Amino acid sequence: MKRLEKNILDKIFKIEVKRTASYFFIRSIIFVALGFAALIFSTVITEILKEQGSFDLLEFLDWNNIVVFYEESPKELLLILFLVMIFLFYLIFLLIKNYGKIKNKLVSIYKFYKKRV
Amino acid sequence: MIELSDRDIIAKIKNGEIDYYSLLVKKYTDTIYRFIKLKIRKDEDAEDLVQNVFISFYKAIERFDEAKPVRPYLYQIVGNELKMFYRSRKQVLQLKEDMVGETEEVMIFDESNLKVLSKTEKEILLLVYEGASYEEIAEQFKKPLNTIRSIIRRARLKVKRPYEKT
Repeated sequence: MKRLEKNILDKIFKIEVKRTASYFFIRSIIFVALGFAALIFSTVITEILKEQGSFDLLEFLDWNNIVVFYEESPKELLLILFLVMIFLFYLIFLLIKNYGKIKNKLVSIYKFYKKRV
Repeated sequence: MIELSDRDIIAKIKNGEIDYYSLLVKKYTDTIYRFIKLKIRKDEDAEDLVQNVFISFYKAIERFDEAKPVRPYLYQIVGNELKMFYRSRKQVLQLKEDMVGETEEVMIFDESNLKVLSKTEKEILLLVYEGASYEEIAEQFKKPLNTIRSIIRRARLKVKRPYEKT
């Protein structure tokens, strides 16, 4: 019966290794993609505002200048950048929230395969 | 060493400490293997089914409510695995309507209700579930075909614990 138990646990840990690896792989790709998107959009928005000279308005901060600055800014691009940042922070939040669970899984997998070696 | 309850073990597994799954495997492998061996004679097939049961349970463990007992849930998976096994080997038995009623059922036994059967009834019923025809069983036991049919009908009624086919 011990052989059967060993076989069961071998299969379970193989499944878990695949699951954990694909979890990290997919999330890394999404994280890098969102990071690049955020970088590109923020660069483009900054360039547009520079060309328009909109940053000059911020030298004298009053309500009128802020309103003009907002009207001159590319709103669609700002909205996309905002959404990208929301997804990015959500991913970071999930990583922090599941940190303990992921760490325990990695430790369990390490301990299991270390016993086998 | 403090022995953990199934509930605590499941909670730890859900928290990522998957090495605790070995405790559940050690606890239930024997009973599930013996149960499946009553229905499947070949050792390799029985072992494969046991492995499938524990793999299915592991995959479902995130959704499993740790307040509920583990054993009945495992036996539910065993029932499903046996159905799939028999279907794959075309050994699903169509129960006659006059024997068990309108709904199509697959009979699942456990050790406790097999005890109510005599030795002959148990042997005959297990042969039926392994796919032997009534004629083959009649030949083996050297009894008339109608006698075999009666024995099977009586045995099924004695152990009847139907599971609705979903």
